[in-house]
Amino acid sequence: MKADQQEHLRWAFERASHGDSSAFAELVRDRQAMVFSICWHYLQDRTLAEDVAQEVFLELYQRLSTLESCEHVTYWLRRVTVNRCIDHGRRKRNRRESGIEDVAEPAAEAVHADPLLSRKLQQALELLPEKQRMVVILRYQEGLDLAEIGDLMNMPLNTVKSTLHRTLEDLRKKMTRKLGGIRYAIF
Amino acid sequence: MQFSEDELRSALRRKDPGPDFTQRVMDRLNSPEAAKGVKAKPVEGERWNWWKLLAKRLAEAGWRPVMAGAMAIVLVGFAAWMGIERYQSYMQQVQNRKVQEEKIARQAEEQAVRALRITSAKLNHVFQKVNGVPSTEPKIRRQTL
Repeated sequence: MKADQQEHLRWAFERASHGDSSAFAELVRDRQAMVFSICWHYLQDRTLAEDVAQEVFLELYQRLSTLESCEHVTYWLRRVTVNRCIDHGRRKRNRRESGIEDVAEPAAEAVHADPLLSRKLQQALELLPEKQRMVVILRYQEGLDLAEIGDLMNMPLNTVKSTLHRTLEDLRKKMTRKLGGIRYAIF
Repeated sequence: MQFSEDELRSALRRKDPGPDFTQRVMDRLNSPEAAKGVKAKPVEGERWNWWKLLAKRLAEAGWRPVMAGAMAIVLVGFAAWMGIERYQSYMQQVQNRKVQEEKIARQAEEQAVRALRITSAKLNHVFQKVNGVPSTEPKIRRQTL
């Protein structure tokens, strides 16, 4: 099933790169959750996240001729999304309009998890410096290994390691301050 | 409050932007301002033009150092060209000044020689007058230098 889907996507990529817009729509449908989620978790603003995600896909359409394969598309999308999010995040910092608490969270697959803890984790994540936040998103949302994160963010492997370690410590401290006294799990 | 990596993963799970997202992207794609920069991939065969190959090689090598190198070469070339131009202009001025000075020196030399000749003739005339020797030289007219 997964192999069939991969094959279908390769075919869609080939057609899209020759200008077929319906094939491009299939590519968008397949990658939209990845791009939008990076934007959403980083920017914590649904409207802005969707706008940035759309811009990334528009740029993808213009750059398709330079991309070699489906895997290259995924890599390119992650890289461009990371850069766009960091740019928009910097601009947003000065004109913050609405926090995560004001905005309805987008639909996600049902997972048995504590919604309060998830909410608080996202809020704590928003308080992190931009690079630390992006490292956590790429690690825990996208499941990338440290070398891939370093490659995407132009950071040496050891810097990624130390950043991730420091970020998790910061998150733990922030969570302790927010919900001090409640103990969930130890890792 | 502590949390596990799984809980962090769960908090950061992918979220869907909604069923209309693709349509909104396609609508923006078909808008006039988006259509300006859109290019389709060329058909196979046309693909490996020399400049594309060069661009690919440069992209593989990393554009930044290549662009920085090219920029440095352009700047150094421009600076060298400016330097050569200014040096040539300076040398031309020096040459002109030298020619001018030589011309003035030649004129001064000629005037000095003429003055000496006149003085010599006058002194000779006076000397003959004083000693009572009739002058053998023609009378020199007064000249203004």
